[in-house]
Amino acid sequence: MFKLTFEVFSRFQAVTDANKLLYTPIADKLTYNHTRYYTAECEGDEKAARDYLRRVLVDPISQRVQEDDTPALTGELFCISYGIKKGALDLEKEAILANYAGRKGLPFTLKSLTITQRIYIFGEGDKEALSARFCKDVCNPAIHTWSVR
Amino acid sequence: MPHALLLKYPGTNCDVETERALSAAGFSTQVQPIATATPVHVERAQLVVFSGGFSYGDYVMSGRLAQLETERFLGDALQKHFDKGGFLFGICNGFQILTKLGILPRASLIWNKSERFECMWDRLVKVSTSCPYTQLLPDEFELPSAHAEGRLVCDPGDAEKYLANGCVALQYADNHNGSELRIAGLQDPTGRAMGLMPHPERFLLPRHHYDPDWTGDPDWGWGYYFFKGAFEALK
Repeated sequence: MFKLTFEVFSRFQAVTDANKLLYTPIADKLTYNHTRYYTAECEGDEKAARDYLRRVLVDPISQRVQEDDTPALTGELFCISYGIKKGALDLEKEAILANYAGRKGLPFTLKSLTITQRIYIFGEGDKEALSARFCKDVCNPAIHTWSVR
Repeated sequence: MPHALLLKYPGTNCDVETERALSAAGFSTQVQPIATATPVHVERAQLVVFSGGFSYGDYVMSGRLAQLETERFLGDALQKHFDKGGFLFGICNGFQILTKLGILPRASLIWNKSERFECMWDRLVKVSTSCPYTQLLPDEFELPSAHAEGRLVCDPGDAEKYLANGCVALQYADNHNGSELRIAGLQDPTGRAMGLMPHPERFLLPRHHYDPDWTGDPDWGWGYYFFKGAFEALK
């Protein structure tokens, strides 16, 4: 069993006003950018698994990918990672797995796939209070789990 | 009578209007869900159409899962169809799918510069002179647009190449989504494969225009002439 990670981010998307993420604006001058972080557990041919997942997850023209499990963006005040909680329907994951399951003769087995959105908040301020505020507006406890670092 | 195959994906939502436009232009039509599509369906068609919508909920990125599922169900049938002189036409989400299938010049459609879904009418300028889809249209005309991921981007220098070698079929007069070189529609060098972000099927009749007193054409909206142009080239 081996683990592959892909943090995918846009070549074209610049940081933008973080108030766009909130229901009501705050005075702190914060900006944000976001990425998508995929974790796959596989067995078999690692190169084939990596090639297949890169082909599915990454657009070579408009996106870049970080595969060494270090954060794709740096310098943030904090980063929120959130994804669909276990038991809730993750339609994106199901669509990817359906394509994988429909492909015959792949020399690897995709055992699990986890999809996480990462929101990097940049600027200065009270990390604890601000991250709580952003989590409250970005994440939905009915369907999401999340963490802040 | 030329035959058009319209491939439908979960989330495609413009297939009815697009089929109506194809029929109005003279095509016999078949709407085929991708899960039951076979290379035989493609072999029977002179034109393969990808209509607008949000295939697979735009998960991962617009058009990606549709591309993967098309390859899974049809293999290289679309490439063979194209190599044998067949036509392909992609509208909005269909344009996104066609770019990912690699039949159109290499490009990608990403989130609008505004990072919002935008629904508006676009003024368009014809650029290519070899595009069968736009042959019957005036040099400038308007069509409705509705998309979130319509900003065309390319590898460095490619957009300029496409403009120079006749692969840019249409440009926006007002570049609301931030596309490189205002590109609204791309074609392959022959013009047989074309994709555009605005929706010609939504302006089939004069009464579809936002201005009830529009007098641009007595019988048809500008969108009709895309389908008629393809029909004239194929009949």
